Amino acid sequence: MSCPCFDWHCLLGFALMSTLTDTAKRQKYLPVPLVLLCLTQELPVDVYWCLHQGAEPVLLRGQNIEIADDEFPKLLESGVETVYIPRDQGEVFQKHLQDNVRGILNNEEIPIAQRMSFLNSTGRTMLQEVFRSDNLDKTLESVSVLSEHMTLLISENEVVASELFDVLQHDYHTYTHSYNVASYAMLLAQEVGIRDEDQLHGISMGGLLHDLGKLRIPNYILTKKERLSEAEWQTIQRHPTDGFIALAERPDVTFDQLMMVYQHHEKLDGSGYPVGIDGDEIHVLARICTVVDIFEALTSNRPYRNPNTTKEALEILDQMAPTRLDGDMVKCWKALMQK
Amino acid sequence: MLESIDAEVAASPPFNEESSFQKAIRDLTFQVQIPRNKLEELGKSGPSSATLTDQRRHVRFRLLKRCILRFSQTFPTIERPAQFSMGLVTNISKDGVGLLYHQQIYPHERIVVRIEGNGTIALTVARCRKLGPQCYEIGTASVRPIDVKQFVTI
Repeated sequence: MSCPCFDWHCLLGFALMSTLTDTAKRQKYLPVPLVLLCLTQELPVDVYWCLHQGAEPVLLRGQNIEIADDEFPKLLESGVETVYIPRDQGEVFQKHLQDNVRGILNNEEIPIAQRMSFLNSTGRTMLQEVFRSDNLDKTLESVSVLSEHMTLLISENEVVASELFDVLQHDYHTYTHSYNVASYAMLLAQEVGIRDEDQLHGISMGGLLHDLGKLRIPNYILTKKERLSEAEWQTIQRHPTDGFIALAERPDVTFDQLMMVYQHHEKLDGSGYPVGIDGDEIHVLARICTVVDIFEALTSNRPYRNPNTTKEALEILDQMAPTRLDGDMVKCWKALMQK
Repeated sequence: MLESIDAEVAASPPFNEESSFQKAIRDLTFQVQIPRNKLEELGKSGPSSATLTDQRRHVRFRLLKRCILRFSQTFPTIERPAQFSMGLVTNISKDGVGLLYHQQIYPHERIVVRIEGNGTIALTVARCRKLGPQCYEIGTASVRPIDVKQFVTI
């Protein structure tokens, strides 16, 4: 039945109502990728789902009720990608995930692509929550735990970069970007010869934290489709400094990690920011971070442009090397992506 | 390049007797390499122009004076030896000091500078930009308000 008063105001009203519902939903429920629940059995939290887009979530399974093995996979096949968990049960859920992650990642019966996908969903959910909390202690604690899992998965398995690329999400959210950059940075670090697990763990942490300063940038600037004003561009350029300032006094953040945060927008020819240092002044891990950060940004969906294909992104990196980017790093990354 | 800047610095009022500052500075090497394109700007005097995006509350005055710089150990993972080095102050305001230094200094690092012919100022680094090899422009905020009249004629 058509709306008798159908006009733009009506449409606008509907859109506004839908936005309000979405906002209320976000405040009350934590969206969780369903794939995350497919590998766990009993859940200590209530699980809600939406029967259609924009609807209020309804209870799917109460906490601690046994779930049949095929229940969530079937739901996933039917096209449901996201379920919801009440925010007040968020911490219980995080703990449940953390208790189960190691077992799942170590389970060699589960194909590596599925474990990578699981860790990707877990990691993004963890990062989304801690970045939202604006609590540095909590952020560093979660980032350290997540890095351990990432190191375990990547150092003990033959992870193919292009397969990893396929299981990752490619949206513009800072938590997604940070997760992807950390994963790529570990792979590239391995390729250039870094095998020590502690070092890989540190690199993964640096990657997860590299854009911490971006959390201070208003969303309207990050998602702006038009050309940025001078003042907005300056705000963007502050993020390596803001990230550095937030972390520099922490004894649990290493110098290497700090440099990944502070120098990941510096360029070999001195054209980068915030300082404009050049050549060997740029820390080797920052150079790793720069290459994969640009690659990730190019291949992700942004509100202001469509993603580049892998091939296009690699060509752009090629054009930037060796004057602006480390030529050897770019070569290594290309070799990894083309395996 | 350095010779020209030394000439500028030497043109500042002579001291009648060797001050403790000069005694201290004698053993230090001036390591900043000032780019040629910066020399003309450094030769000027008076208030410094601001850009639209500057968020300054007080006027900066040009000042060309050598300074002795000492780092405070600010961050746990960035080692700073407790020794003196030499920098070049280029401007001053009630809020802070601008200087040139031969190394990069990180944001929020705490330093103490003693300016030639004047007192000691405790500063916190706000920004750092590389101007050329061994030349970094350091913007600092003063821990306490600076009495600019002590340093420049207004």
